[in-house]
Amino acid sequence: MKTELSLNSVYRPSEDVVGRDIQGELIIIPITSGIGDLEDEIFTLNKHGRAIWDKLDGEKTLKEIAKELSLDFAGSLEDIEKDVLGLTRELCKKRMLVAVK
Amino acid sequence: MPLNEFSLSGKDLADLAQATLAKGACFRLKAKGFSMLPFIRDGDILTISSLLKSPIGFGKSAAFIDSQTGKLVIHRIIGKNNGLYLIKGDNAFGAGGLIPKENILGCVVRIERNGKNIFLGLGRERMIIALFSRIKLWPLALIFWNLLPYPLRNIIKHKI
Repeated sequence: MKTELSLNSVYRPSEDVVGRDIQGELIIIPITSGIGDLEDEIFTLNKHGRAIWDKLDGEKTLKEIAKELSLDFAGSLEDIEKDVLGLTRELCKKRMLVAVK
Repeated sequence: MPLNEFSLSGKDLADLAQATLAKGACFRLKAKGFSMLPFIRDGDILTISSLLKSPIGFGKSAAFIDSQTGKLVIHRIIGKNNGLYLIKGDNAFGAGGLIPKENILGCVVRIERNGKNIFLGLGRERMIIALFSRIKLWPLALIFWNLLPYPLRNIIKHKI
């Protein structure tokens, strides 16, 4: 489903990724063409990215996620919304997220 | 919040391999160690297929989790005993070890070395390799190897 990315969008992790909490960081391997490639494609998300990823549950909008995060992290809501949009855009480019709405 | 490259080994690697293969996907990683010489070398890029796509078979190189260390290991299946699989490294002279099917995650279906695919050890010849390994004929094979003229050995080395 192709959806214009906005704060009203809803996303969830793709079925084609493997995520594991390793050494305190979230390691993500996208499965491309049926292969989870440890040599070419492996990603980590830091604390902030991890917090966003954990809330991408296919139910909350990005705006709701940003609002929830603003309770836990310092910074203005506007900045947090920018971060949420930025990471979501990057994860979508790598086909790690699926648009729900 | 950029995405960064990351490298890992040991139990974490086994966990990631297990999770990826459980989805029915293949897992591509760099081989470390020398226990599968000469067919798999340190630094070779291996593609491991889930058992759904490449079932366990005699002579196949299987990826399994070592029950003692929890690490991912790749050795050759050289037999079956009371429902357990006899597994041994091609470069090991010992008796090998028995592991349950549940510990086997997948089988090696592709070997890449210096950008080229290596086929030796993946086809039917794998059965002969396993048989040699099982009946401990490797010492004889090595003696035979050393008796070959150097130019011939060199050609074979380059082929594998």
